Amino acid sequence: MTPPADGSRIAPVLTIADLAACFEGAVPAVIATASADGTPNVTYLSRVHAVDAERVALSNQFFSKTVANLAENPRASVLIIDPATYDQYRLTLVYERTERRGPVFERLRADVDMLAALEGMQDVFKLRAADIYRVLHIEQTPNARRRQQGPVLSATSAGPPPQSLAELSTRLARAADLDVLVAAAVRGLVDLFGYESATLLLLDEAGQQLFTIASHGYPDEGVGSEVALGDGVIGLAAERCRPVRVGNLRQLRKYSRTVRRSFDAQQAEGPGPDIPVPDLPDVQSQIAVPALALGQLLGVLAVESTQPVAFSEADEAALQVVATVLAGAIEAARSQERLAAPQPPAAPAPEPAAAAAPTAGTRVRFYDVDGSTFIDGDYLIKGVAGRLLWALLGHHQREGRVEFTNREMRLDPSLDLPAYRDNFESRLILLKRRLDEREAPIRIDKTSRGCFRLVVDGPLLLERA
Amino acid sequence: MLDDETTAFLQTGCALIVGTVGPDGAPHAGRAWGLDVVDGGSSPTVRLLLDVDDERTLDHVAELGAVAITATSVRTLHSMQLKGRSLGLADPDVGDEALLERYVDQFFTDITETDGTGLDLLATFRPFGQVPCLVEVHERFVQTPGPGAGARVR
Repeated sequence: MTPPADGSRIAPVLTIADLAACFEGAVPAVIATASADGTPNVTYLSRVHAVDAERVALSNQFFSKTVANLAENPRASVLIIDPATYDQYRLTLVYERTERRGPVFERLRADVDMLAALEGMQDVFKLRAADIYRVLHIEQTPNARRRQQGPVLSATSAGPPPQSLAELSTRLARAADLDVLVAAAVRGLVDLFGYESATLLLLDEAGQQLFTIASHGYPDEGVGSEVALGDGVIGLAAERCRPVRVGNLRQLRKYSRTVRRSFDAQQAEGPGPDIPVPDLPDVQSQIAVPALALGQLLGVLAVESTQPVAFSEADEAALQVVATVLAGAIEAARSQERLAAPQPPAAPAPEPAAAAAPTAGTRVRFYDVDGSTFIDGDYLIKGVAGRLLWALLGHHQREGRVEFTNREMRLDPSLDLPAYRDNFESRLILLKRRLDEREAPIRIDKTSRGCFRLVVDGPLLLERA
Repeated sequence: MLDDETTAFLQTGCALIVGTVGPDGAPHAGRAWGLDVVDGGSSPTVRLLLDVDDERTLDHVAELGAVAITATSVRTLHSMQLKGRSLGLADPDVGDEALLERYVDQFFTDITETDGTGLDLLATFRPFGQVPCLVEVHERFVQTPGPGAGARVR
């Protein structure tokens, strides 16, 4: 028998560990149970979790008949499918116990919370318990390709090689400032690790939202886009300060939408209003890992793939290393920027702009209520970054100034920054990258540590609403 | 019990999963590869195509055991469960092959269009052959995921 050339392998005796790809939930599983009087019940499961070498765990929020059957007859039969080969396996199970806390419960709860977060059902869609089953037997069900070949197990991702991890860590260590650092991180994940796309989001000053500071591999960089804590894969990773890995986003979304419709149709105690979720079409797999420094959440690093079950625990571990290195570097960069004494500009400043208000030019409209800023009618940014831009443009128009220091702007009360961990450098980088992304006639150039220059091409019309 | 709308739903390429029970009370999960409503009236009966290689399901239905069939739309996850008793394996019919082909075509197309799985991969999933059986349906339940799942349809 010739081994397959695609990285898969032929298994003489099947074990739970062999079926890792089946436990990612990319294809719904099936469970059959029976009551004491011999009446069967058969239904779908969103996912089967491997617990250890002998056990699996199941969760289902709408399992009433299955639960009743198991109380009378603890046996179950489960079908799972390998999403890479579509080979099907049957597990013969016996119910062992129910857990309502602990690591297995938490793993299953993360799945249910993910489903809930996709359709804004966090208040009503919660895991009640994790049922643990002992696996008595595993068999492959025959199909045309495997009938004579025996079980062929698909390979899961081995994760990026250590050399790539070392190279990315080196690049991050070489980054001279926050702007270079965040760009190097997301680019490295794509170029060195081979991921399709990567995003870095940082936590805002209030600790309630994440904002995109850099991304790579997408049609639009999306700098400044926001994700609420608890929202989707990224929001959950931030809220829990734990990695979240999914390989079946398409299935999850379909399932979540169906449950939402059922709630709506029954007018049951209702889920909250729809919460927008970052929605990239055709994404099947995603990992989001928290970036922590000194025990505090700084942001989230996320990668995506259009392939199902594209990532493994090895990818998750590698990303955790990168996120930790990145978090330490971000914290160090912020500290340096805060402590840096303003240096003289590296180059002569250009001629100040005319102080008199022009009658034609680029129109910048600023909204006091939330700092939303529009350039020629197109949304640019909001929040601290929007207020920072407005303050800079005010100085520029009133005094003709172009040179600024981080330290003086940090003290500007109009920015409404918190006294502690003000995130100023991140917001400045966000504003800079957002202006660059939009190819705006306004630019921010770093001139030396703690200093930057506002570059304005042409006259501005400033409007405050 | 199986009105026109239900019959249409059951016959249009839904994912079909089957639960049976052995003489020792052990449940067994399997799949079906086509369903035809033979009689939708007071004693509704369906003709179900089972996998020729799923010997335990075939044994259980041959012994006239209890059967559960869950049909689920791949596109919407709208789902219902039929419960009843096997009337035994049926004689192969000239229409069985056409039913299997029609079912596989609809089922696989729905999977491909909604989940993105390639038809070449799905082709390895189809059974070698089909064995028809007849099931008398006694009860029908809502199975769509959500708070109403498990409710009996009267």
